[in-house]
Amino acid sequence: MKKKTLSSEYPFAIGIPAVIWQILFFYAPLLLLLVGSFLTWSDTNTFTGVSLDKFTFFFRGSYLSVIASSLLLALSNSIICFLIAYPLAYFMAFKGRKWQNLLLFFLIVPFWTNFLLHVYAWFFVLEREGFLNTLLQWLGITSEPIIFLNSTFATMVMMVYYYMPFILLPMYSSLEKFDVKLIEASYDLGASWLQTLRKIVLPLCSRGIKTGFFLVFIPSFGEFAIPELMGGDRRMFVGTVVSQFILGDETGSFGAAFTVFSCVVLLISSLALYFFIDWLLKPKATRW
Amino acid sequence: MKKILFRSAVISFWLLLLITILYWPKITWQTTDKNSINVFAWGDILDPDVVKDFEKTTGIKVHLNYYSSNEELIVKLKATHGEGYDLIIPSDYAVQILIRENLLKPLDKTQLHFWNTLNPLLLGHFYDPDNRYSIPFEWEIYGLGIDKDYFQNRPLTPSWRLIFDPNLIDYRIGMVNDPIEAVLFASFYLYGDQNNLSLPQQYAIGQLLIQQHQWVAVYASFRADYLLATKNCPVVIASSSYIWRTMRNYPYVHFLIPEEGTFITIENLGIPLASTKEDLVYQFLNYLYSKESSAAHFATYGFFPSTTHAYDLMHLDPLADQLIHSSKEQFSKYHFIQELLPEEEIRNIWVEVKSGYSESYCELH
Amino acid sequence: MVKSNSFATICHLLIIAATYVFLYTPIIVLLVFSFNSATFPAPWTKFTWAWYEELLASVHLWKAFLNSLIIASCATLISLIAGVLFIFYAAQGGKIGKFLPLFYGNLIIPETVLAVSLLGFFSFAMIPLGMTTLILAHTLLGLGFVIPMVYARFKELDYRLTEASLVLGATPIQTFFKITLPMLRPTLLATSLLVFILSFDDFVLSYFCAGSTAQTLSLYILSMLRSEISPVVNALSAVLLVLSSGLVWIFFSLRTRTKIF
Repeated sequence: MKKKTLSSEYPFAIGIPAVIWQILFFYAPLLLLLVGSFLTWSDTNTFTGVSLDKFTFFFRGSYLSVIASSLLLALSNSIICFLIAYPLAYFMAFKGRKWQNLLLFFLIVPFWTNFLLHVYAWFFVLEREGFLNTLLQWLGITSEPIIFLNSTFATMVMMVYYYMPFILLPMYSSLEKFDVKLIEASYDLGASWLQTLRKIVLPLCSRGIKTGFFLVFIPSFGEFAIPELMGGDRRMFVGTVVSQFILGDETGSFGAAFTVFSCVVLLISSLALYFFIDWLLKPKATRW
Repeated sequence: MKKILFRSAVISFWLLLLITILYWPKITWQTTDKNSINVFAWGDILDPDVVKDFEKTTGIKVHLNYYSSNEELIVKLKATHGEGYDLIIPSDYAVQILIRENLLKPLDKTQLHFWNTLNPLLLGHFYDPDNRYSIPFEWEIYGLGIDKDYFQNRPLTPSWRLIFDPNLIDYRIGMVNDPIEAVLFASFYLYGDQNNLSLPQQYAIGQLLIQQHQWVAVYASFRADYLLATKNCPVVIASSSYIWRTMRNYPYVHFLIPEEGTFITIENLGIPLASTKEDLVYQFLNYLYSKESSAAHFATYGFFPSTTHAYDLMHLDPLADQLIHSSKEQFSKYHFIQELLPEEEIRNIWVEVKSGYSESYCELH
Repeated sequence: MVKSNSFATICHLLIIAATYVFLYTPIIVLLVFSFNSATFPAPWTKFTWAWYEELLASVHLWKAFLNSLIIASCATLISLIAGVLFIFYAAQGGKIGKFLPLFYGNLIIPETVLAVSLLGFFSFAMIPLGMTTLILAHTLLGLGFVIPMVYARFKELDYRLTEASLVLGATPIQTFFKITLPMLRPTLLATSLLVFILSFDDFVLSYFCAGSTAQTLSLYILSMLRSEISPVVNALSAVLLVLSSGLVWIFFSLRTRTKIF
């Protein structure tokens, strides 16, 4: 029976800074953000009251359309990343055991390099006289350079390029722990490859899929640097609007309100997507 | 009970420690390097070689910090009440705002040996009529960057129509990314030199910019020259310095002044009120306005210097020569950038343009 | 072994090949052009080391690089130490399970939101923006990684080893430093690497919380991307690629030797 003296409290004294740090620098600022978006101040900096004015300011077509653009970007990015990453993860987990370390290594090296340099690298490939155009013309497929850059295409390419490892790694780690015998059993019982996939493999690794999906979906929503650099800054996203308001003069609280508003939208869509994906991956016999 | 007290004490200790660390820079601010100045500037306005030479010659260390817009400068200066910086480089209208907010220090012109070399056309403008607080450093003019190859067999009139007229445009253009400039140019194209815009006029400006959006390849003031050099866009609206950088390397890049008139910006140097190192700053200024420095800045960045004694050192092409030697009359036709509408309106228009959603303004107001 | 369907295998191989071509084409093109003597968009002229020399001479770049290095190291160190201390508390029987979910949020919310709320907090508390605030922000990211990962590994440790140590007369502190920590070492090293890289490459937090005094590598590259395209950036990418390959290699040698997570 440990004596409950003060000196036995020292582990608390030592261990607590992490929690203090977290509360002070993570939760307090978020709370401040939330509260600040509701409060109003008069011109002479006196507190006047609580209102939803700052929120209703953003209830207009242009800002709602900005949020919708971000949602669309995040969703399409997540789906494309999934479609590319899943076969790769599948291969690495089941068929390429001996190469998995090598494949993972080459996957992580670009992942651990500054993403702005990757943006820069893609300029070289997608430019008018860049690698891709030169290749296509050399192969005789095209005679005129195609404009790839400063378009939605370029933005999507870079988004997928950057976010793919985020979805691949969780899916891979959950597939890695998969019991191969289950697949064998399924084949022995006469199921086709597609049936095995959708009734055995997908449902059992749904946790990895969901983790990976949201690891892409949520950050993509707040992305603004890639559309600016690759998309010619032709379209505004949530991040762009937020940075304009936050870094502007006396509009900081509006930026806060817009951030809170977008987060609410993000939360709702994430929940909806979560349940949808859950439903999709269930192995009920009557569905697809 | 004792446990709760102890835990509270522990938490308070850690909080105190953290707070001290956080506010440390503020406390030690005053005791930093005495023989140095803090310069707050645009990213590409001060030639690093000139700065390095100055440091070597005088031994005064120059700390450079960067901002990317006048608004950022004003916000940051207001937030710190001008503390922390010894030299700033605001544009014309920003000087006016800073003077109004009482953030600039009056200059002691006796310390500045180069005053008589300054181009008189750049002095005495609306933002600082006696140049009590600011010295013009360089100026640039807005115009159309053109790809000559594209217009070899096509008629070319130097006009704002090249970026606004739907009957003329069947190519991609590069547009400025600053909403204030965009609104100003659109208004100038539609209504000429006009200050008070009515509601229908505001709406028309918004609609013009929305219409223009379909032709714009990139909204970027900074990369205008790159767009021309890579032949991505045959027409780009940009300020002269960006184009001049590329003109030297690419013979097909040309610069035209729109015949209806155009805009200029003058970048000025000023000293924040809270600075205590004016003597060091004056040394820096005298160095910065020397012949060699002016020529170096033109060579590196392409802006027209405010001093008149460096022309023999600069390699001026005919167009630059003509512009630099503008007569008083010609100069008076150039307009300054100003905010035609309240900030909120401009911001709303800009979000409209870039969100892809069209909406009627008149219904809202 | 899974019964292989040759059509499926070929499809798989094609997808793998295509993915890696997709991943590495830009990088290879970038590297090749770092040796080109002419600036893009001019085509290949001749081989030169000139851009690397210019890279070495670029004072501002190295300052930014150093800043990023300092910030990343400090953030990693602080989150590591805070994490270890936190685990220490758990090792002495503290019930930290209830505190753990507090740390999940760091990685869940979009970085933009985190940056914006921190910026608001700093302005409100009038904390001067700079290296300190950046280190602070990056440490939050670090904590979000370190604490859940190390705690998960800690929970999996064989408690009998610590019990045996205590029974044999070691004090709890000795047990912690001589038994628990060494067993956690691979995880700690791996997470430190992760946090270091995350912080070094970070862009969003630096964009909002750096103020005007702290120039990080990401911000420097951004300013270069926005203004002039220079092959010096190519040279920089080559150097950074070599560096990150080295770090990944270290990470992998840790991973294959012992179980990390």
